[in-house]
Amino acid sequence: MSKGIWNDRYLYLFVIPGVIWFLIFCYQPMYGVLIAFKDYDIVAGVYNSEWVGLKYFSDFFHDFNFNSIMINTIAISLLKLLIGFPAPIILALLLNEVKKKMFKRITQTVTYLPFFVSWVVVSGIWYELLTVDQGGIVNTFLMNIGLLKEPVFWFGNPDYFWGLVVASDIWKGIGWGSIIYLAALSGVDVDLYEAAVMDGASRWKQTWHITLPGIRSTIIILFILNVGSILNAGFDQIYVMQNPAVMDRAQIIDTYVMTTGIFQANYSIAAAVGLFKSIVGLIMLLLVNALVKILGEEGVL
Amino acid sequence: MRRHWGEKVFSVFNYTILCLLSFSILFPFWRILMLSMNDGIDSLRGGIYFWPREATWSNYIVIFARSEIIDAYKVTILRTVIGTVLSVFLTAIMAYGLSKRHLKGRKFVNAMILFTMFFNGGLIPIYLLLKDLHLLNTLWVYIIPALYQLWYIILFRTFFQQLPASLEESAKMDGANDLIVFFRIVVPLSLPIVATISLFTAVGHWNDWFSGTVYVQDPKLIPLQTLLMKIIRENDSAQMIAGSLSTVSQQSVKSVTSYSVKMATLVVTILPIVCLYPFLQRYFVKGVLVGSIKG
Repeated sequence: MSKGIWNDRYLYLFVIPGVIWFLIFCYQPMYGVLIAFKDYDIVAGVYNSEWVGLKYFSDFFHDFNFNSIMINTIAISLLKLLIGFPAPIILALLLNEVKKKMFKRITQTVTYLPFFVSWVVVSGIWYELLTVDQGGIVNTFLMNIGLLKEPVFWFGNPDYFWGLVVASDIWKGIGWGSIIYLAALSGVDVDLYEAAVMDGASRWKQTWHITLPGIRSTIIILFILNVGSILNAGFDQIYVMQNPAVMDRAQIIDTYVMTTGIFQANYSIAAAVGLFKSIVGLIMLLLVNALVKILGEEGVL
Repeated sequence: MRRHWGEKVFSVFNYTILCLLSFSILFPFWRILMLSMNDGIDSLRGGIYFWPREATWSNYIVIFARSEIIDAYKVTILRTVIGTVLSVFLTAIMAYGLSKRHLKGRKFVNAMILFTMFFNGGLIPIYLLLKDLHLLNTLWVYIIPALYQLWYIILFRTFFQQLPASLEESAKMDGANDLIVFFRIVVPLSLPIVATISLFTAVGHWNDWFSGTVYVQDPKLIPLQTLLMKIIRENDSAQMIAGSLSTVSQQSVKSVTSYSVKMATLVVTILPIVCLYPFLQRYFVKGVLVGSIKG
């Protein structure tokens, strides 16, 4: 047996640095999250700080911002799930109907592009599109066709913030998200379509009865993963898009953790909020997965 | 006959929608480029859509006259190159070890790394850890915490498992050890997946603004994306112009506005990606598809 291990010595050499990294950068923070139950003292460290039980969780639940943070987080996630989730599926279905190969390839290349730039860049681009002065293109267009009388400061009005978040999320991710569905679509049996045409099924009926069932398992898996991250409203995006004028609608769990923990150095409460989020996410994932299995589909776990 | 007509209508509708979508994505990028090449004060009049009206390089002259952008470029390139090389190398060798089914302890390690997908300590414990390790305010804070990513380990592992075992076996018969097998036989066969994961890792490094915002205060160590965010959000561009006035001749700067400087900074930040991306796109797509088979 020890000879077997010696024979594999190089393989162990390959794996061990990674194991050490995971212990330090993933498992140590899991221990460090104990500060959520302690009154964290920088000098004393995690181990020696005083236990306070669930004090910081209760502090968060009774924070006067708690309701609006939860509502913002869940509402933005739900809107993304409702509108943003089907968008790449629809794009994939549309692309699938395109017969001209060149056109299809160019459209794909163009729509994938925003995925490769950061949210900082996307928010810069959108800010420019929607700006009031310098002839922001959206305002100019809407005024020209007579829908607006005067330019609107889209980024400064809390009522528009959720809409902007969902729209820019689709703009950035629709192309990239469609890849996986396109791959699934190419796996649908061509014979089925031929048979359907023989039976006189219309394009729409073919889509409904052959294409969609063909990619159902892909849709379900991605749906489970999306519901599992219901408390991830999209930190990167919202943090870079928010501004003081829209804060009432823009504060989500993750941005709260960032401001409280990093900028105000209230480590314990921020850690408690982060832990609360992780646990709810895990429970949601398991619940949806179980539900999907009860409905007779294959889950992710 | 009627169905034929319906299909034509659908076809026209379909092509129109897709063209509009492509336009709505390309045009904003194009317009930023045009505005960055237009005289700042002239841009304030509006009406610049497809071409610059008073073409000028002064926006670029201004941003490159200051050390911020140059420093940020250096930091970004350095972290992207070092980070990608180290990360891909370490991820590949780890995944190769884990792809060997006979390796003792393999299941335990797989379970250990998979668990991190479902639960993590969160931002604050990681921040405190990096602080204790004295990584804050160093270049390494961009590289070390990002060395391994579960998803890339899985991609590599799946790829290695699909390689024909006979090649490695025959090399072993000739007395080659795992080191030689990996570097002489496996790596040359794995160049497509190496390319794909290198690209993903490099784009991740290039686009990361978060580490620079949270873990670093030293202005000389700020990457491009973090600088861009500061310029967009906090009107640092006004300072930048003011600072440039001393270094650049007055004449070329007078028509620069904080707005046109923002546009030029945006272009400088995305240009490398936008230029390289069309050539590399197929590698990216391959990465998504390899992973989705078994994930």
